[in-house]
Amino acid sequence: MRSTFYGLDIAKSGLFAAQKGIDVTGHNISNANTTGYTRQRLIQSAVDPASYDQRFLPVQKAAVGGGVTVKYVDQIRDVFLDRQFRNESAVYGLWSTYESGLTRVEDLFNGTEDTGIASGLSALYSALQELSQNPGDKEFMTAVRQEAIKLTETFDHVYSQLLETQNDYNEQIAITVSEFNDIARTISEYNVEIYRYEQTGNNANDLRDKRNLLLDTLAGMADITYSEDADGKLSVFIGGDTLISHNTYNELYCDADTVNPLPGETNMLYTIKWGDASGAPVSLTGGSIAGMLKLRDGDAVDNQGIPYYVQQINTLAEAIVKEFNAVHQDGWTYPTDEDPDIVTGDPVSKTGVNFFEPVGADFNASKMSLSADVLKSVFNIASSDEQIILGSTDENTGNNVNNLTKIINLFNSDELSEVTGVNNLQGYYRSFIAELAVEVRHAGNMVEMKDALVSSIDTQRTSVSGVSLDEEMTNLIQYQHSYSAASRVINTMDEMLDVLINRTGMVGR
Amino acid sequence: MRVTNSMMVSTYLSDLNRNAYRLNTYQSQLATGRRMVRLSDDPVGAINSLRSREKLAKIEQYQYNVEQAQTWLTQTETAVMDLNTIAQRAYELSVQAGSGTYTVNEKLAIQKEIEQLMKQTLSTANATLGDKYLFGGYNFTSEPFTTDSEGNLIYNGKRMVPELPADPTDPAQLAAYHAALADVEAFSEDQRAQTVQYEIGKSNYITVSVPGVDVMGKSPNDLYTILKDFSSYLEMDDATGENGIQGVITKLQDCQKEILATAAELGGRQNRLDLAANRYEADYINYSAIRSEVEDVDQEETIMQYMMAQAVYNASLAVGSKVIQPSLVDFLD
Repeated sequence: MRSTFYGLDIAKSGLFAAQKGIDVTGHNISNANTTGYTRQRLIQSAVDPASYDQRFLPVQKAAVGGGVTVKYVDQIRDVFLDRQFRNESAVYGLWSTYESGLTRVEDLFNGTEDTGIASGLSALYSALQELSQNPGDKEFMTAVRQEAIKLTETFDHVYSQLLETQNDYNEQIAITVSEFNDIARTISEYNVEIYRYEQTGNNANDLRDKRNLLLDTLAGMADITYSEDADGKLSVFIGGDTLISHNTYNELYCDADTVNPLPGETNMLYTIKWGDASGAPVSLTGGSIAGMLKLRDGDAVDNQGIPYYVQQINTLAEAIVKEFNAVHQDGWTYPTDEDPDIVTGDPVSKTGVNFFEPVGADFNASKMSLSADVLKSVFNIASSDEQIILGSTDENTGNNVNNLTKIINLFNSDELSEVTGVNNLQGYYRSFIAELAVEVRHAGNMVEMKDALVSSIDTQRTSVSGVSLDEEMTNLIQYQHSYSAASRVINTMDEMLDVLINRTGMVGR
Repeated sequence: MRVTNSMMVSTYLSDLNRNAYRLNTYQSQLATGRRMVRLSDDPVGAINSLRSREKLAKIEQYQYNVEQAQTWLTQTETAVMDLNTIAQRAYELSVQAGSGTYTVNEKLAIQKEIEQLMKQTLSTANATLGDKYLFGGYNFTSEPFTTDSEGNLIYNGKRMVPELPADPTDPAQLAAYHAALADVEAFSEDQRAQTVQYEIGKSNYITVSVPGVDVMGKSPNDLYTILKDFSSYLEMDDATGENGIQGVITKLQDCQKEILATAAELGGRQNRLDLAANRYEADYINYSAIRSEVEDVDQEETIMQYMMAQAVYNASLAVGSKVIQPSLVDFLD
């Protein structure tokens, strides 16, 4: 026997379900443009006929279910795509940071421009050539000195720009790490909230969206892995070490404990360490922080960071100083009143004079400068290969340019050997530029490739999780109609009951 | 694949962005006239361009050096030809004076002219380029050829013809004379080594100077000393004078030969410089072409690509306005 009002209950459940459905649809539509929002879906199921699980009720024939019940609101998300997205984000973060840093380095060496080291070398070469045609002429000697000073200034400029960039990245590492900590803390807070909320049996969909968004950001900064246990407790790891364990997190901190390994530099660089008692260094292999570390520390051919390029500049500067001095010391200077003999006070031709200040300990390109002698007087540029004697007669013995010619030959030579690895000054610079250009291009290609990959995964993710307004409108119509239909059922019941209550039992009246 | 609204928007935006970027690239290429803005745009090209810039700088320098060398040589050649003219005139005069038909007065008139020629010889041999003396060896700053009070030739402070011994039979005086000769010879040898060289190519040097000490002929048979002797013979109206003048004729002939040999050598060097100048001109054009190929924009091609990029950009804007807007919402009442 069916109870009299059973049908009304069934219809009522339909009304409620449709209303709920319209709410969910409304929520989806409202959040169509919310970043990180995952579309939600109403999970409903049919109510079993009352007798199914009622052991002591008689089995009814043709039992009808009790309408619909709203089970829960689910979100539609593909965890595999999430994982893929975050793995690739870490790689992308590494390369895009690295590439933008290298681009800054590249700007310093824009060798196709008419400034910079290459043109500085060419200008010095020309000045030397012109002096060789006008030996002993102060005007041309001054030109040589000016071009040499310009060259040392260019080296210093490039060097300090590189160092500044390295320092910027050191500071940026500290800033990024504190940002990273902030996110880790927020995630652990969300963990607690989600866990508490979901214990009531509900899905914390919107909280999860926010946490997922934070995980995405975190993945761009470091190569994290994560797992969620059966209870819904989330843990995040970096290289096997625990960063977040449900409601606790292990802070990273930057310890300024390493002296900059570049020669002649004394500033301290940060090491990223775990904040817990172990204080062990954190090993990062992906993400933007790793990119910054690579830029700050990379000093090898297969790990080209700023220090690598600084070393190249240093090597070139050292080669120029040593090669120039080696030849210059063999030559003889032009006698001058500006720098007379200390004892006699007469102008005297000297040998063994340095052109550049010799390479000292901790030499780097910014320490490249002209020797005190040449700065004192331009006549101390040793053009001649024999002693010049300004005779009492008309003859100037030894005022030749043979030594200058040897200096000029340094620019042409392919067989310099004073400093290992530099056989040709301009050639060395060129091959170094080539190396840089190829590396920037490689990084650019990697960024482009990883960008395409990340955005394609993201598109797939959006395809699964994003809100489609067309779909939502269709759902809306569907729910609206089922609401109307359920109302119609109630109407029908009402009419039936009306007949039953008000019109039955009128026989013989 | 399920297509959602935000997906459409973001895909559309990234595509639009790419089109705008391409448009911007061509635009900046056209505006700057340069194909490469960054080294990494084309690493191999960047190296080629660096190398050709370096080459061009060197070629320009060599061209400048060649020009300077040509100026030097031209100036030298003029001076040498002037010396030749003087020698030629002196030769004519010596032949006239040696014919035995000239009177003392006529000879004295010739002597006047010879004295003028001597002065002219000195000033020609002290020729300069700018403020540098051409024939002074490493002495560029003061006159290399001068005379002492007795009119003897001094080169860079050295008397070139030693005094003849007063008594040729005295072995001591004779020995001193020979020592003086040897000293002058050693000095000359040293002076000849003082050459000025210009680099006109990689380790390719051209000597622009001629040994000043020999430019008028080797002492004591140099033009000035010959003329000086000639002048003194003209004063003597006797057999010694006659014989002396005959000797002068042959000496002048030899001296002129030497001067002409120098001139011929200078001509040879000029030819070498002309060859180098032509070669550098061709090289300059080649390397400029290489540099331009790497660095410069191909206008026609870039404009075409720019127009195409613009068309694509406009089309994507037009499509965007149609795709983004409509959804089912627009069609429901």
